[in-house]
Amino acid sequence: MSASSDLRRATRGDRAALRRVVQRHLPQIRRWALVATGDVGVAEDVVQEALIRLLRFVHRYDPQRPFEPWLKTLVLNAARGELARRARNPVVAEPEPERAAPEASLDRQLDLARAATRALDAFGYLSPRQREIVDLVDLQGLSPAEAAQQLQITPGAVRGQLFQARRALRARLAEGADPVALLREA
Amino acid sequence: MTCEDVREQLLEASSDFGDLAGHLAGCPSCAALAAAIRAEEQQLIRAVEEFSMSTALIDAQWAEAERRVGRLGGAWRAVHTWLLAAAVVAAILVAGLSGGGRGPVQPPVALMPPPPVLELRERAEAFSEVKALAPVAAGTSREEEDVLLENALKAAAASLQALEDQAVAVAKDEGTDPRWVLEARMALAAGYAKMAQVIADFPFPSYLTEAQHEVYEMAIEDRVFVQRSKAAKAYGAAATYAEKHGLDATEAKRQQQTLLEGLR
Repeated sequence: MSASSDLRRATRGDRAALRRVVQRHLPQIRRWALVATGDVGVAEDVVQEALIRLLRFVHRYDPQRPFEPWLKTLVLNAARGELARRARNPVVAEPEPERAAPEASLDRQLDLARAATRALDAFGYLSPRQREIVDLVDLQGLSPAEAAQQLQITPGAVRGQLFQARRALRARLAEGADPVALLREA
Repeated sequence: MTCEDVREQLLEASSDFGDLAGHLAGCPSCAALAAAIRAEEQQLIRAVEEFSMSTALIDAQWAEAERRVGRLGGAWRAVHTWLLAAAVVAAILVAGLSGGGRGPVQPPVALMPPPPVLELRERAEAFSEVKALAPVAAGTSREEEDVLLENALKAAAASLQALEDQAVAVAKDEGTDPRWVLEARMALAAGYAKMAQVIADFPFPSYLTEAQHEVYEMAIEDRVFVQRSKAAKAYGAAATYAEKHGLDATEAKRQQQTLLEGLR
């Protein structure tokens, strides 16, 4: 089945076609959810909510119009809803259970996992707009002009936000690298 | 260039650090910092990619989505007998309107508004002050809560109805200056958009179960969508009217575009 055929069928209520549409767009849906929330756990809930909304509202999609902007709006609305719901009902995080000392063979994997967590934590401290710009320019490799076009803002605004975001992100990431100590050694 | 300068620039530069290459080549400390930053950024790229590409949960998430949407279908029948959801529908159907937030566009002051326009402004002002009901106090009975919510919704709908009646009266009078007609159209569109917001902001009945809460939320979302669509159409009609009569359509178009973006 072609993508456009699946979309048309999905708007008419064909669940199997909609499932294929979801499969095709899943990486993008997950990425939007992560960029919008900056938190892996919240992003999973947003993906769940986005799927519910997709099932409920796909009949509203006009196949004559581009699908990705429509889908992105749906995911971002799901993210806004989820963040608002969490603000109303804050979840108290359970303390992490004490872990036994890792086996030597697991050290490398755990280091990588910790580094990934730290990187995502730093990403989560940026504003949603900054995350969007960092994602488009630094992670996906768009030029500031291309990102500006996609976000419907000026290239100057993209550059300004990008600099602020990089500064904030690297300041957090560099905490581990202890740049002050490095500089003292210089 | 000092190490301090380089450290500052490392925080902002693109990750190829091209302009700083000369310093980095001769300064192990700054080079180490640059390498650490680059490595961390690579880690972030990998982490985001891994999250995006993960399909581990999709089957479970899809099944859960189908289950919850399926439950919605069954639950709708219960909603039809449900006083508050029905009250929302009834209030809106009676009013025949939706929501927005801004007051009417003011024409040049040199043009004295006729009495119907002054009345329109008063009604627009009154409706703009309508607020969603505050959450009910603890200890309120279910029956009392139903009455409070229903009355608040009916009051909002009545206020909007009064605004609509006056806007139609101004617009239908053939002798009215087009600027006043445009003001009436804009006030009506703003009223529709405001009503959508009122509905969206209304507190949920406190006694709902989790499943009922979800159904109620979806019902409200659907109503808000319909009301915002009406508001977008009304702004579109105001823009067309303005252009036809040589008036400024900018604000009407801007409001319509904002609403349409929210609806996509």
